[in-house]
Amino acid sequence: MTSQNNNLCYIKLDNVAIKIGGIQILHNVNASIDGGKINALIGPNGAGKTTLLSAILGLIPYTGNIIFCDKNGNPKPKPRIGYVPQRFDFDTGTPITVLDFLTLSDKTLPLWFWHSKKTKLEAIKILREMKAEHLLYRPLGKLSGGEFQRVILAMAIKNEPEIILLDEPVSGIDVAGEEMFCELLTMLQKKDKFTLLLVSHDISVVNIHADKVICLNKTVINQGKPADVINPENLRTMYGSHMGLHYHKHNHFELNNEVKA
Amino acid sequence: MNAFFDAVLSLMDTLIPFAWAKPVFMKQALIAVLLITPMCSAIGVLVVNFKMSFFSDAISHSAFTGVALGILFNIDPSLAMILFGLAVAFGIAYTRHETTLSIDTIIGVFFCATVSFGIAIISYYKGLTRNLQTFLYGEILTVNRTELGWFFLLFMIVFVYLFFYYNKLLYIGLNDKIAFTKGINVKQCDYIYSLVLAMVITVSIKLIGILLITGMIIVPAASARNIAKDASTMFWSSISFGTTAGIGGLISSFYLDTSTGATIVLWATCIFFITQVIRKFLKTA
Repeated sequence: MTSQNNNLCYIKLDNVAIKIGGIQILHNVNASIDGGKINALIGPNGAGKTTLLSAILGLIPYTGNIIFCDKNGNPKPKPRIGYVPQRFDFDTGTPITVLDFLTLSDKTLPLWFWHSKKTKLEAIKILREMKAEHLLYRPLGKLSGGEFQRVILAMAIKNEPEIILLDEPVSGIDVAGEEMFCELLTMLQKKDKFTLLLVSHDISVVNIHADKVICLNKTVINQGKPADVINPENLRTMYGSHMGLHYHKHNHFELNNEVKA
Repeated sequence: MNAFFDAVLSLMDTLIPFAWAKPVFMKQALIAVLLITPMCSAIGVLVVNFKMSFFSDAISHSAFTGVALGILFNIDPSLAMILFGLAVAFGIAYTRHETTLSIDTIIGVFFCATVSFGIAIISYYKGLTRNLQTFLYGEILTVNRTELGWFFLLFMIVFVYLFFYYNKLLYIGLNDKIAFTKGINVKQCDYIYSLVLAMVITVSIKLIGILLITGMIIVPAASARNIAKDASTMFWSSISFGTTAGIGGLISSFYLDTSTGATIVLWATCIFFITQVIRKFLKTA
């Protein structure tokens, strides 16, 4: 499980710019991802959200600085990062169980040896937190979208990461699965206080669960508390003049094609 | 070393009191089978899971060119074949990391380049064709003690490698980004895997031959995949199927007077079809 006192690591993005194949994907990105909080990254398709996550993970080169800081603001070595990708394309026929998958990273013996009692208990413990204990021996390729996301989340939060990056984790899951996943995530974050950066298109999910929102469209449009940032003006800047918000009475936002006052 | 081999052969005389095992060449061939087939089947699990059978084909066919170059430059053809196979594997891995082309496109380019180069050499030096026959079909029955020593060394290298890298490679096969976040050096793993696979393929050509070595790598693993539900079962089933095919093929070829390499692969394919039936039965049960 994630550590209780993970030093509240936060990430400072200082003038980050990314160019891929001659195309400027991101420029002048200056933002702070708050430690021990749920940070949401929103923006239209092609805004550079996944690219920014890749840079934070160290997968692609960038200019500027991505600085991991401790609670005192001092730079620290790259922390342990848990990651849930936007797409997890794999051969669903691969004979690998959830238990195999969860023990891949920390099993000293190769998977073709038996699972020790210790690794099995650790896998059960983490799955129990995900309300997915019953999936232990299920083949990974036979899980539903919601079950699969919980298993991937279990993998991401194993080994006590200080930061967890989630790239549209609820895309492709039904509404019930989405709600369950978000509640689970919020509960885990509140309990373990890890730093969470969530990429999402769902404004209502962001509004309910996030502590901080960063609006991105090639550069940072705005950042701050959801109530301050999610407004028609920012959305128009990000998504175009035709976009706006529709506010439901039950504390729920929806993106709309027309701006509603 | 010779005394050790003599002791092993004498022990085999006691343990396997059958007519087919009486000739020394059959006993040596059996040792070769027991070293090569588990190795091919074990590494084959990763080949099947990574969908890299085309890579295996490209390396085995590059052996043509390696052998031809060896004969031309008066280098031991087996050594030239291995070195050339390693060079092609490195080239494929390097191009994969340096371009955005898909892996099958890259392998296709290398496949065409090496085979056409080999054919050009062979067609220019007409006398070379005769020397290539051995490598085309494999000649397990002529394996000597020195070669067995090399097979044993490679066997040890491959299983030590799989001990330390199996989980990492499986992780990369599932998702290389997550593997990276777990501290796995994806690029390094890919290079080493390509080179080890190329080594296994080129060394095993002596046993199975250029034309069928890919079969020996992928068919046992494909059979195992038909029935396995977890990673461990797939690994051990693949080794069991490969070794059974190896022993069965060797004995059958002795009595039927057929090519040993081809008979082994035929056994492997029979096992594959049996597992297909079992799979269907398990699905409906």
